[in-house]
Amino acid sequence: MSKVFVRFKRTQPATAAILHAQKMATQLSVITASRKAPRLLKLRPEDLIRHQTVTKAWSLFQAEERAEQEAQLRNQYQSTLDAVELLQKISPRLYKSVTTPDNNITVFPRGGLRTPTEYPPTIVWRYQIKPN
Amino acid sequence: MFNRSFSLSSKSYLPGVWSNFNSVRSTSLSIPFKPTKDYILNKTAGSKPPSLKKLSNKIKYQSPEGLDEIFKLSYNYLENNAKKIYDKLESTSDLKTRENLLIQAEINNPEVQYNFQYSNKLENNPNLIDYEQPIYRYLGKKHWESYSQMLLMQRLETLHVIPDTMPTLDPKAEVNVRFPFSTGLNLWIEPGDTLSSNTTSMEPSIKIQEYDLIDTTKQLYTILIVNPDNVDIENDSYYTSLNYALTNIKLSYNDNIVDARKFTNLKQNLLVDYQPPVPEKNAGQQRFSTWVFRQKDIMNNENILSKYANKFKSNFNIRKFAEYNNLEAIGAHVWRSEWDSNVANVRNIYGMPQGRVFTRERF
Repeated sequence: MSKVFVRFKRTQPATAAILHAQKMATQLSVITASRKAPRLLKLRPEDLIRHQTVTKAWSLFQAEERAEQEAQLRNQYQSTLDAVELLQKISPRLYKSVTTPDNNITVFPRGGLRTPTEYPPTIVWRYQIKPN
Repeated sequence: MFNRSFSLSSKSYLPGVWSNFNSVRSTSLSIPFKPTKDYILNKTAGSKPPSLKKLSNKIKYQSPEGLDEIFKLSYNYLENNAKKIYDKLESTSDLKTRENLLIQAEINNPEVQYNFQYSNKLENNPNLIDYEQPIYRYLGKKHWESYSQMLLMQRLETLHVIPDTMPTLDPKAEVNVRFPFSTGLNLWIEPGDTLSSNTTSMEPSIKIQEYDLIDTTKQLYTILIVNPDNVDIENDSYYTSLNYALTNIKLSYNDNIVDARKFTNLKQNLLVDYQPPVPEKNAGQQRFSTWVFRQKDIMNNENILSKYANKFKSNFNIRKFAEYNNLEAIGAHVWRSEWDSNVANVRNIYGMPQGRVFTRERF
């Protein structure tokens, strides 16, 4: 009987990945915080003030636009409410048909007509629709 | 979108809200150094910031691309907003509202921001930071609140200055203390510092910076320095002494360092002359807390002295004093002193008796 020594391919142990992560963590901890942080803008005081001015103007401009849009939406919502209230006074029957949710699902357009909005619907396609 | 809107709004833009320096508008709202002002407001292509002195640095430095163009648009936009606020200001008479509007109108002015951010806020030059202007008072208050005020409150609380002297403090004015240079420390001291007896051997100058809207022509201030850590062996306790008391001090927003120049009328202003800290050996550290009060009306020092002079040294009650004289605490400061080899010398200068030496065992 002769002993046959078989040399296998060296494989990494299962803990290698953990060790690797550990090594990375150690290396990161050695690096100072200032090196990990993104670099500061290297600007002279004069340019920094100019930069701040531009940033401020941009944020103010955006805030103004946002306020405008919000006011518009608020007005639109209020006028919808007013119209519905008026409808309630004029014709309770129509008011009821408007305010009760519509269960009459049609095949075309699939799922019934949708109120136009700025964004696509959360349910894109209704697969289970059958005609009444 | 940004560009389009700017070009539309620039039609109604009237130049000069921020650059029209008539008699009403303070010159402190502009940058006095002309090259810097020119660089910030009307930078031409290729020009370099005047804060760069060396030619090699000037060659190396690149200001951000496209900033010149967008800065002009932004400046016009902000100035236009300021114009609207100034228009609103004309129809307002309420002082508080006017102050707020004046702050809103100037807060985005790059010149104001430059002056405030890059000059000394504590020892302010009125040409750069003029605390008479609501905007600088606002910025100053924000700057104070961001660090120094918190530090002060922390020191007052951890050293138990509150509630050992006054019950609490709602800080409204920034108080800074420094001792004359001849005593060796040329610094505005940090609250809670331990100082040598040589440093504190002469009376300090106290800077009181008001940020609120007040009538500086009428408002009077009282300043007290008290030491709540005098050893009281008989009662196995401590008592408070009054080490310095100034009354009826008038201040302005910019000229507000209280020293010998400020109290010319000794009878009216100097209630108790300065008693320097002379802690006794092994008695531990003593807290010298400075309190600044707003007065409701003028104080009669002769009256106070005739009634309470004997209590100032041996048993001073700062809470009762403040209550009796209608004083509102607006600011405080604290430093600590302990025995050192120079105390005997200070006692000599002021003609005080020799100090005691405390030991572990009482005899």
